[in-house]
Amino acid sequence: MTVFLILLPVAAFLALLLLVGLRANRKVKSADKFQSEYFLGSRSLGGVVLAMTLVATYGSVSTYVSGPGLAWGYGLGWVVFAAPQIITGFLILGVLGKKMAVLSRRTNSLTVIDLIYARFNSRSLCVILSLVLLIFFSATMVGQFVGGAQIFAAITGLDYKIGLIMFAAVTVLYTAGGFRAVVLTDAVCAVLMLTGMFLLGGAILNEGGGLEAVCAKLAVIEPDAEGRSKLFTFNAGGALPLSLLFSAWLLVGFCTIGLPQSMVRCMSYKSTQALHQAMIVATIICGALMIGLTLLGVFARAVVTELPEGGSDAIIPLLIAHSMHPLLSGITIIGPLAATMSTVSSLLIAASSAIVRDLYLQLYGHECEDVKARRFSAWITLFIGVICILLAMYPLDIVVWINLFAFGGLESAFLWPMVLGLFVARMNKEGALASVIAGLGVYIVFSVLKVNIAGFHNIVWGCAAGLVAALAVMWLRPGADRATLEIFFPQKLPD
Amino acid sequence: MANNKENTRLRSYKERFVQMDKEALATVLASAAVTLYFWLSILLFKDSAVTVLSLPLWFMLSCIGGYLLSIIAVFILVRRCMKNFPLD
Repeated sequence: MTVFLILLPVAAFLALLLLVGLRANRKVKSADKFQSEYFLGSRSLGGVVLAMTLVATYGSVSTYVSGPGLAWGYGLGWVVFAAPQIITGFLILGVLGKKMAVLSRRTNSLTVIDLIYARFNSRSLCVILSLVLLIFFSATMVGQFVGGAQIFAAITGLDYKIGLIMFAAVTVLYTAGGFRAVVLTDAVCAVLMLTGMFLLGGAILNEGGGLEAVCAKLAVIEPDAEGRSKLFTFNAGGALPLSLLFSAWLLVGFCTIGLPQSMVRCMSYKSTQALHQAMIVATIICGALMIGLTLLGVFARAVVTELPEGGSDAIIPLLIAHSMHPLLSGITIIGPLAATMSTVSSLLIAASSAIVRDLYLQLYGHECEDVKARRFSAWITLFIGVICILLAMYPLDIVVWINLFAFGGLESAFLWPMVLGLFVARMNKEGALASVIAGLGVYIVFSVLKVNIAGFHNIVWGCAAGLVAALAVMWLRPGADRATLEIFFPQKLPD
Repeated sequence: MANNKENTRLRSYKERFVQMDKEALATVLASAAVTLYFWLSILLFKDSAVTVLSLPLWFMLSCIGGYLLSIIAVFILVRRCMKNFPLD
């Protein structure tokens, strides 16, 4: 009976997503320009949907599980680590939003790689970036599937594989319907992520006896010499060095401008009014989710007092399973599932576009009529999706390992080619290539060798290496040619 | 929204780029201002024993206050700095 009550809302949620996806798929069939519809939803996103899809894509299962789990141990210090995400909602939209929208229309670009090709005219750069994107996106999707399936198994008590197949298959199916299906389901997911957060918050505060009682319990845990709980210090009593907390402002703050899954959303909205509205809405919901969920992890310490056997990742599932009415558990578990699915669907459609559009059609000059392209795109999306589901069923160490570096890796590869490409006329393909190789290289090598320089996160060194390499190498070769300047930098040309 | 109409002064392609560069800079400056406020409120109040809603003052100022400041900053950005124009 209990399992049934939990599964009821989950099943309704999955059915709703399929329905939304199917409806969106009808547009693909009636669209005049298939590729623009399939990969960008015909650039028609309004402000609220743009904001929701940006935040839902960004917020993942770790926002729901690992983040709050770490906050359980570190206390408010981990909220300080997560806090840079108060700027993430508007930063990329404000910096890249309009230029990417104007330039992608002008150059007829449908993907991030398309636009980079239009700017630098370099096949090798685009092939490298497509592969980086494919590898990191696939590993992330597997990681998300594993995380989502684990929380599903922990809460329902059902087999891991049953949960995985249920929600992963739904995700892959609706994603095959194209970008519009992805963003509309993302909007549904964003609402349910917020709902899940409020229900979880209510359950924790209820069981802990209210905010005051919860804080009173926390205040006496692991006191320092002055009698202050380490949970109430900004650096977890010294466990989180200042350099690491500063690094977070790059990792989950400023460098999120470099995430290609966010960039592509800058090409998909309809008007400047929509962008402005999205900046406001995204800031409000992104900050609420990131600060809110992490803070709930801290509060959870008053309810779950001992570290569970499954480690800190088991804390939130434990709370959802044991502190709530089964029906409410069922609604709350949709939160992390929605976070998982909305991240996977966006990565999956982008990975599919990297293969179909960037590698097959664009870079290698294959011509393709719309009917064929439509089938090909849907099949590629299904194919990548099924591979990721299989890898989540039978996890390989290498995939788990790549997933750890995916977020920072994507940032260190994509940040400078795009930012310098759009704002520095002197930037050229040699600078961009050097930046990708040095940035990603330093980030990966440092991470593999577990280099720790003064406690900074390796994204700092990856980012710095990418910037230095770009600036050093771009001076060796000429900048953008006249035709590129006319499109990308009209303000730099004399009248 | 304050200027919902398309801005008539930004007709040419070139003028839009001048405007977009300004807006990007303003966004980075707004983010930097939030960052600065966040760290100042932590470093100045980290040892204060005052609590607000049972939580330490530094936390309420930096994380909750910083969140509210971000929302205010984005409102100012959108209303004061950003302009509407056609995208194609």
